[in-house]
Amino acid sequence: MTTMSERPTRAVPLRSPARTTAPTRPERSDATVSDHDLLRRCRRRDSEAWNELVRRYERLVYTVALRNGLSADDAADVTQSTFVALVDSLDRIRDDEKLASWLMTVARRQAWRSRNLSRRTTPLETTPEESVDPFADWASVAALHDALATLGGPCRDLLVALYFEKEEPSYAEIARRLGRSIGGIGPLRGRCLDKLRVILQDES
Amino acid sequence: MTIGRPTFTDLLDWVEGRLAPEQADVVAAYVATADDATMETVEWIREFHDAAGSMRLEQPPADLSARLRDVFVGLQGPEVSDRWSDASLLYDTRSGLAAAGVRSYDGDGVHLAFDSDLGRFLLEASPAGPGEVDIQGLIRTELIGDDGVDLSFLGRGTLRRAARATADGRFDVRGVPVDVDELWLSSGGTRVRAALDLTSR
Repeated sequence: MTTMSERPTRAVPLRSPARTTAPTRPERSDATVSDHDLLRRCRRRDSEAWNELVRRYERLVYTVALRNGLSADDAADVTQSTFVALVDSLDRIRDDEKLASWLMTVARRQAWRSRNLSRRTTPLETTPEESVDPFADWASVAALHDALATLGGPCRDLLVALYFEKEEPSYAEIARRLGRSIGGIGPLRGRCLDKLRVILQDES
Repeated sequence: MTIGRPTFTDLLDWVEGRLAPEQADVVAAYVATADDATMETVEWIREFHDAAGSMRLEQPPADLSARLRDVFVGLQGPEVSDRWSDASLLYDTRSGLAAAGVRSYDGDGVHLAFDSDLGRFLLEASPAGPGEVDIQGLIRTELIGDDGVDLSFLGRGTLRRAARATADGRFDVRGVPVDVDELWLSSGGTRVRAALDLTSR
């Protein structure tokens, strides 16, 4: 059985098992706007759509910058550079559905640039050795975030809260955020994760 | 939970240790002898946990969130407010009035220098594709502080390109439409406007 670490860089992160009864691709919740729709609205200078994009992706971009060895201040600067690059590229992004991986890639590139700049201004004796790339499974993680964006809706918010937030919020906290009962969180997470698996299967 | 083939949620609960001991034993027994599909589902869940756990999301500082929201409006249409001013052109190599040490006009690019409330900045535009130029620039950083500088290149009032200067004050924007006629520099609440003419005369 292939493990994630054995995979090449192709963005097929999580293998989906063969299914005897393949479910249909999950529909996006009507209550949740897709990245594509948000980008389309941003192109019409809709600042509310922009704010929603910031809400969705500021943690992801900031985390990529931090994980590339930057200080909190430098990571914040790289995050801002990345969102400025998004404004700059609104009319040139090729695939709106891959916004998550696009932002991750830009943030990573900006972080490299920031680190190189820092090295030029840091005394040689204090410059660290080339650090190990913290994203050995970069393609897998990027594809996973694209799939989460495709999933959208409460499912995306639930899975991000349960599995990606460093603070590991309780079921009670997540239920409060999503406006659901605590008892419904467990079954919902199973359904949502199964949908995510189908999306990844389709995209692979 | 079901008796017989476990559902995806059963397997997820089992992998995550959320089942009562007797239920967990039932699932474990099934998995141990089960079909490939069940085994692969379990493997997929574990891989998902590994991938998600490899990059837990950090919460950015609250002031950054506010700045990111402001970026959009600030770049799209810099407002004329109390803290904006016009940059003054120090030299333009096309005019032949270049200061000592400045490259003379070579007929193949535009070299400009400005003075402003954010400090002096230089801008060099060289031909790129049809109707486009590549722009490289440098802003004196001592007056900038920690806020950094965001740049908006506008043509007839519409945002054409945007960039953020690096910590050492450099910026590099490729493929800028040559009809861009205005540059706004924003740092914190301070904004500077510079009139641009990037055409080769």
